[in-house]
Amino acid sequence: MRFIRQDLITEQELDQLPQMDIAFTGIEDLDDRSVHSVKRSRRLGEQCLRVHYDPKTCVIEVGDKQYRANDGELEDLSRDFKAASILIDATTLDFAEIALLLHAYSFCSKKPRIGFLYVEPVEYVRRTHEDATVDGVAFDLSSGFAKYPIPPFVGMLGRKDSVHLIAFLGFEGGRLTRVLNEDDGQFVRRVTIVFGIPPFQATWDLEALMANSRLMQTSEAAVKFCGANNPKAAYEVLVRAHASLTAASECNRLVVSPFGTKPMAIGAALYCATQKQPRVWFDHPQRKKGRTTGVHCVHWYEVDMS
Amino acid sequence: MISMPAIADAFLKNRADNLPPDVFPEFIVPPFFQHISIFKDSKSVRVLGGRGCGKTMFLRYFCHGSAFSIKRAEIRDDEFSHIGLYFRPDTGFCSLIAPGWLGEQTDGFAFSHYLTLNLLAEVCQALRNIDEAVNLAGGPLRACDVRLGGKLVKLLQLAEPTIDALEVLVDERLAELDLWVRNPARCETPMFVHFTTIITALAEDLAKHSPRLKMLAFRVFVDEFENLLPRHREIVCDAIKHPSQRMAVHIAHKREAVTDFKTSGQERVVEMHDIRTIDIETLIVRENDFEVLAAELFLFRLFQADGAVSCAAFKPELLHDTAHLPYRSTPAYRQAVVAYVKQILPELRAPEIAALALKDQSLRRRAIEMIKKGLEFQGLSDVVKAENLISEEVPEASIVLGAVLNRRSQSGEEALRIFQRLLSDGRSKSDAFYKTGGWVDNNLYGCLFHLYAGLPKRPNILYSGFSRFCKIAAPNLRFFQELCHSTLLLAYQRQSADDIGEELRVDLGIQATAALQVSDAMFEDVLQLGPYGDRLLDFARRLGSLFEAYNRRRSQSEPEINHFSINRADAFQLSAAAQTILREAKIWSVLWESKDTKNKADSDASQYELILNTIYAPHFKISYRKRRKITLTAMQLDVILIQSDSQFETLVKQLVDSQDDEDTAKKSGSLF
Repeated sequence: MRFIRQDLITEQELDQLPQMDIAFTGIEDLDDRSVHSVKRSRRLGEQCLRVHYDPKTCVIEVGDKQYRANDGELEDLSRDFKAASILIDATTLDFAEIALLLHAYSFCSKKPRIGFLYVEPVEYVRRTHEDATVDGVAFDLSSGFAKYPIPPFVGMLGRKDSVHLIAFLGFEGGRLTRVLNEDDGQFVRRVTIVFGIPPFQATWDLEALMANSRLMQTSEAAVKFCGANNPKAAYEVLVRAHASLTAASECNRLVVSPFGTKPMAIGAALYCATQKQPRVWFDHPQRKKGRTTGVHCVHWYEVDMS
Repeated sequence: MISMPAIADAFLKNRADNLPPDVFPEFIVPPFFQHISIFKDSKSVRVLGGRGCGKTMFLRYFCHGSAFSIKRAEIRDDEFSHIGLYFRPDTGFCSLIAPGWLGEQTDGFAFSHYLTLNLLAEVCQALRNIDEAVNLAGGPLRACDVRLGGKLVKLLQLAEPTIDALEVLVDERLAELDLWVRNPARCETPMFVHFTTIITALAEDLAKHSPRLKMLAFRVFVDEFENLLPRHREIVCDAIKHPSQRMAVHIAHKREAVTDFKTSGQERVVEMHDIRTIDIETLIVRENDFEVLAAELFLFRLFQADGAVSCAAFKPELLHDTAHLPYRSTPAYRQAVVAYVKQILPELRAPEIAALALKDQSLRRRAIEMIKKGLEFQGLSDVVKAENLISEEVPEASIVLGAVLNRRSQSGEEALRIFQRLLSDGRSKSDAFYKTGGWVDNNLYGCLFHLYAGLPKRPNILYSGFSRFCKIAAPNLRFFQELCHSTLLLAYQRQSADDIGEELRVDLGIQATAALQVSDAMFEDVLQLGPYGDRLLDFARRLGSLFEAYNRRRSQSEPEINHFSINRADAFQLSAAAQTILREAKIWSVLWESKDTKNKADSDASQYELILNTIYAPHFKISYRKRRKITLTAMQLDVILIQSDSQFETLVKQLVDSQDDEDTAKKSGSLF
């Protein structure tokens, strides 16, 4: 795994990027930035394919083809869409789709160069309640969550396993506590929570802290920080955590919960697809239409998976 | 030097987190073990209980880790006739064991296989525990030396007929299953086995191994039954429907979380016939049992933190074994432990709080204001000055007078006359204020809650005291420990028992502040309760603010409203979305359903009552006592459950006759 570049990129610089063989994009009409991101992705890819993963059926749709999310069919996916370079529109694709695409291409003998496009919004939409008395519900981003497993990342946990949970956190309080609440002492022995600091924009880090304040008051979680727009840092947090699982350590298994910013999710997905397939606890948020407004700036990340 | 832990931290261990297999030295046998048969016969049991009631610990207590604990004084051989095996599924993994992923039928075989392998691992561990048990009454026993019979060897394709070989095989088969489930097309399908055959065969082999194991039987505890997929539940229900001599299957789940106990066939598991229910939360609050248990827990935690416990009756070593329940059930013992903790967390009765309120300038001012508004309302402002209607001689009457005067149905002149007679003649058993069931009886708590609610910064000592903590927390021991933790943390900060050096005693104000802190925190935690946490939080907030609005009425004509009833038939008309939220609220104990029939001749079986969990009472500044309710129609409940804020706002205005609401205009904006 090599990180080639991660930069803020101007419109002109975007135009100068070399064309990618395939661009994978998600839902276009979610908000201003999704429109923008899909438009730019299309321009950058020789071919542009819409990707959608249904966590309920574990089927990933690429263009008009469907694949079940097991190793065999994912390998087929990478063969059917052979490419020397791919673009993943991280603005419109979610963690599950990104991780599955990366996992699919990890089967290729010659791994493609991968670029990620990510567009920041100007603003996230707040809840309309005049009085959000509880931290963590200040934003109105998702209409529901569903805790379905993503097959490649659901290695069985057994009675001898104890888990170090690494959770990347964002604006939506309650997502991690819900996970911990469900586990209720079954596997988790250690928790590390990772905040995106420095944030995209000033004060956004505070929102994330506020959303999760109750968690920090009550648990003995270790707190780490990595840049909100830095996939490499997120990736490295996981590599280091994995390295610290030894025969002598309290925990023997790593579980990742990518609830943070999308760039953090890219880092987590890269780790999941290329390393020893950790367990993932994810809740597949159904993104609300119009959840953000405006187009702020554009990030370009490039990695080499081989 | 190792510093001693802060006394408050003794109450931090209040989650099932990291529960070891041996909970014997931690578990306090609850009094109800004496009243009911617990797993005495081989009939299956369903253990009901919400989050925080100690359900998992309860199950763990009956499993092999605790049964053969080295901390246990004497372990009789009859333990072998019901060796407990604990099973809690990896739900994420199990959700892939579904027909859509693995194919019809295969999913069922795969789940049985998964369950079998897990139980086999448990049996191996149980046998190791028996081998290591030091206090077996019949002397040591080498259970692991058992030679496994031909049936098991053949079915499992065991390399050798030994427990060692079995343990290795279980690990291999689990790894194989793990790989196959994720990649069913790529890997070879495992050779499935079923627990009813395998575990029974293993039990037979063990029974032959030693005469002491002749009666050997396993009881399997399936925890978090509700988290299994329907098909997986059916497989567990099959085993419940068809029990065997050597194996009984028990399940545990949250209240309301499972309603259908279908087997793989057309049959269903039937209460009484196939299964009995142990409802922990109902049993734990029988009579005064919760107070006693909470007091014992409090003292046990102090004892663990090396705190001074000078209560002669309390003997920590007698808490863990059912054998000592007769001692712990004596009235003398029960009174002694409760009384001792009441000294540490003292409380005042409502009349005493009324007297104190009149000494507190702000509360007194509010009481006067209430009377003043009442006099205006009755057109009596010119007759008497409100200030003159406050009397230290009759503080309770002075406080409830304000409410009485604000009532349309009550003649102000008459109320004044009675009050003034009270001032001149003193209280009597027949006056309208002090007679049994009179104004003071009915309104004092409500009025005090009303007075305090207007001063949110003032700690409300109506929430202070050990027995009040119990009422607010019951039946949830986790909540109780949270209250204790916050209280001791505020009172003693990070001091250890040694630093404090004297017996504990916590001031009323501190207790009240702690109660509010915990209540606020638990309210915030609603967000994390299940997949609809955010909706539940909205619902709890609305219901709480509705009761809060009632409490704001000066008339207090219906004081202490904190629950509602709804017509059973009517409830069926709720929309599906509303019913989901209502059901979730019950699963997560945000609401309690009560089959209240007590002291109401006209009680109507077609009505049922729903109580907002009392842990949220301090957050909303309302009463924790179950006194009065409102009746809601399905339409109204639907608004509270799922409709818009503005519709809810309109409903509150409709329901709460706001004519006597203090500063309605000012408050209505910030209510939501």
